[in-house]
Amino acid sequence: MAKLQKFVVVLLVLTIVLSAVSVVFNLIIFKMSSDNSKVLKQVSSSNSGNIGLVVESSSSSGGSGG
Amino acid sequence: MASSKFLSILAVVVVITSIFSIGLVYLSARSLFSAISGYATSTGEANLTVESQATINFTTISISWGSGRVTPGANGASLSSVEGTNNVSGGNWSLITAGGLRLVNLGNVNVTLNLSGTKTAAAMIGGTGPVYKWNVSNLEASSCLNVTGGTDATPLGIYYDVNTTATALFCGRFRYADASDSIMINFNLTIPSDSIVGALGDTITATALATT
Repeated sequence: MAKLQKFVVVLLVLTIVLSAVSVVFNLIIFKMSSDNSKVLKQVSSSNSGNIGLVVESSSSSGGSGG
Repeated sequence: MASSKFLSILAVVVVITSIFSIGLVYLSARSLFSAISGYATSTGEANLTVESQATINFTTISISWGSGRVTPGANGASLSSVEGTNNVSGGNWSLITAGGLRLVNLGNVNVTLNLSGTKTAAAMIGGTGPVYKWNVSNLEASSCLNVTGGTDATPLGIYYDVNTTATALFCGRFRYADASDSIMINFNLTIPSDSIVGALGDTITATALATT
């Protein structure tokens, strides 16, 4: 009876430790994939161009009325 | 006796759980170690990551028709930036850089391409019946496609009023392949005889967002 109890306790501790290890490994994997997605993250770019002209006034061709 | 039976059942459950946990740890460890850069297998492995980069750049950044005026007696003048055509009629402007604003995708990823201007025809040119339109066309074949890689949703080579309220999506997929990564943006202006006098102009902003 005592041996069985001891066996169950040891197994329980072992299970908890293994589960903790598994959680840690998965957290590391998640972190690594998260970093990777940052490297491959979509990025944007913006650039500008200009158009222009000058409209001359036609005042030189006209005179002032009196 | 009852507690002995309970312990036995518990032992069986714990054994099964432990085996399951061992399996989980094995799978996790395998995934982890295969993901770590520099991990060597029996055949050897080298890892590198090529970062995606969206970069667009105007290779022709400015278009100017210089200085001029509407021909006396005419209602207005038409100005175009298209290369190899009569770029000015009804006025004496002279196009300095023909061929439109030219944009190249310098990055290593396909991008969406949106364009926006800052002024409407009325705000930039003024007068009666001003026109300020643009169109996008391929400088290199198949540079500007729609999202699925087919013909662009906004037909190329057709003039539209310059969009100032929101950026207009012209290319769902502006490609980065060297032989197909250049477009041009041409303009069509009508300067009425009663337009604003002096320097007229606008800034065109191209915005690219990387896609898969």
